[in-house]
Amino acid sequence: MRLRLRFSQANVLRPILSTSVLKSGVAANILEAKITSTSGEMVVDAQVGEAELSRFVELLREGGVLVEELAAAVEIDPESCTSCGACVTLCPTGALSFTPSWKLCLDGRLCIECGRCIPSCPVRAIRMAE
Amino acid sequence: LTARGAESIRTYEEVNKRIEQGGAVVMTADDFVELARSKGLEAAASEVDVVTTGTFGAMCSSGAFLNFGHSDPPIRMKKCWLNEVPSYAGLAAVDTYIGATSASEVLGIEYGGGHVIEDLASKKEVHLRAEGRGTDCYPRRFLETSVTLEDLNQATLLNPRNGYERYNAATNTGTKELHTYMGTLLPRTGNVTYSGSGELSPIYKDLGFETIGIGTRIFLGGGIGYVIGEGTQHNPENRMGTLMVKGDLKRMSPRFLRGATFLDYGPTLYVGLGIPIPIINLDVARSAALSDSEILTEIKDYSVASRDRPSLRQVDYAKLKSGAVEVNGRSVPTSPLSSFGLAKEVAVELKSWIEKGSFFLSRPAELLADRREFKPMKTDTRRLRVKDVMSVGVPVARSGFTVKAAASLLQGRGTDHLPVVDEAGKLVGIVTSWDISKAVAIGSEDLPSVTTTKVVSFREDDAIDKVADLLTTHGISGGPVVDADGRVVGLVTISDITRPRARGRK
Repeated sequence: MRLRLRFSQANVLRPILSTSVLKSGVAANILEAKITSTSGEMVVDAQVGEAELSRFVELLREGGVLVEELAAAVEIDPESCTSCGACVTLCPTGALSFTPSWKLCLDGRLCIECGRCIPSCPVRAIRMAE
Repeated sequence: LTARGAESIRTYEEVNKRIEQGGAVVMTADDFVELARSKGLEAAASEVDVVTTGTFGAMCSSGAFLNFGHSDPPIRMKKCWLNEVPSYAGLAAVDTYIGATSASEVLGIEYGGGHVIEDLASKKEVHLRAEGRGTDCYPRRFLETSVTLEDLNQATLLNPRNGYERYNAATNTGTKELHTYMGTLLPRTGNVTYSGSGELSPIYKDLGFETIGIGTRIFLGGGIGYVIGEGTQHNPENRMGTLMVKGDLKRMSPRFLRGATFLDYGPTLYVGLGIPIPIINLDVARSAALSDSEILTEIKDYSVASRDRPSLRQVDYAKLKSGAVEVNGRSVPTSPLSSFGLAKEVAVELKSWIEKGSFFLSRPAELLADRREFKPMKTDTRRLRVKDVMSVGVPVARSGFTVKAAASLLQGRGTDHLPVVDEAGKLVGIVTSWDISKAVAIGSEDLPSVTTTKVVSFREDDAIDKVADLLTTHGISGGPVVDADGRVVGLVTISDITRPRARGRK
């Protein structure tokens, strides 16, 4: 499950993610991290069971982090997509791949919303999900 | 050795008779590869009448001839736009050719000729704007209207170069991401892209051009088309054969004609193309039975901005299709750019047409060249050098000069650059008219305060492209030319290298 974590300025100096990881034992993979003058935002992936995940989320929330579970971030219009594959190697997480019959498919659990695939689609069949 | 095109296993008449009777054995090329593998080539060749092929990829050298009929009062179009995409109007009054890569003057490369062709095939309205010169016979000077495919007299897809036998695979060993007609190439050999449909590839299934020739009836854009000759840059000896094809756009489908845009490169058209290969002799069968692992291409390094890009390795389509290939000792992921799914759909569709008796095979009126000299562009070999374009006898200032003395040297000389030299005449700096203005503004009177001492200078034998590169890199408009001892011998500026003389037009 991919989670978006939002940190307020008040929390910037506290190691909340590390603390939550250590306490829950959930190994979180940081996919994206942005820090501005007033806030921070991260996308992390934790491939664990439901109980462990909810403990991890609870710890983060206790630390004052806003946690949001992410669904598929991009959408492929099946009518428009020609399954050419121009996007496949641009996806940093392997979320875009082919079925054995060369149909393009998206694994929403792996998508991190980087948007690299969108402008590289020759027929503009990929867009950010609402 | 049989003659090229020999019908030793079956003739076109025999094949067409079987199609008519509903008994023709038709197989897609990938299935034929399997059959030949399991039953042997000769058995497969005697069993199968026709092998169907298919490809669906970006084919930039595509376009359509359109005829709009005459307006009243009539116009002889000298300029023409379709949905604001310029098309060629140097033809008779209301004929135009819309090329796939022509870009919209409003939307830029996001929408181009390929998209116009797709929109026409989709029966959408297309905005037509034209300008005429206004003649006694064609008085109208301007025209604006909307047309659909049905409104046109003729809409003929005519693609000068389609169906490359195979194409180079691409990678990028440089440090900068590249946006090319081979898609996005990630830096440091981050990916490999390739096109073509491997064992379904039309021309590769008839390597000797034994059945594909002028008049060969084909699947084109979802309708029926014809091969009308060799394509431009046809290079069969290098396995880079191409076809020129045409067909009636009115009978095509937008499923197999898709406008597309390659990021930071431009618009193009994805074309579905399928060719039926009648198994007329064993050589044709052998070619039709070639599998992905027997179809080879080269991985070229697109970070080298030259016509002769170095090849990093040879690779077969089976490896490319496996999702990763080894390049320089490292496994690199691969992306196709042509759709294998739609290529197969083309081959399957063509097979079904033949099976149900709605598509017959045609014997070519003439076979295509199986050998052809392939030439690079002939360009002017005389490389202009600095000494060909520089100004000589230019004023120079001594480093001890005052600003006023320097200003009076520039005055009336039509130059903005004043090289500064020492006692021996060697270059030590440069002052431009901007620096003089600056000196006036800050009230400085001695020249060194406004002299630039790190000077970009040139030698008489430097090529002018080097000058252009350096001027651009440093954001300057000119620089002094010095001899081996650093003495100023002239001055070269942007206007020197952009003058018609420098461009080879005396």
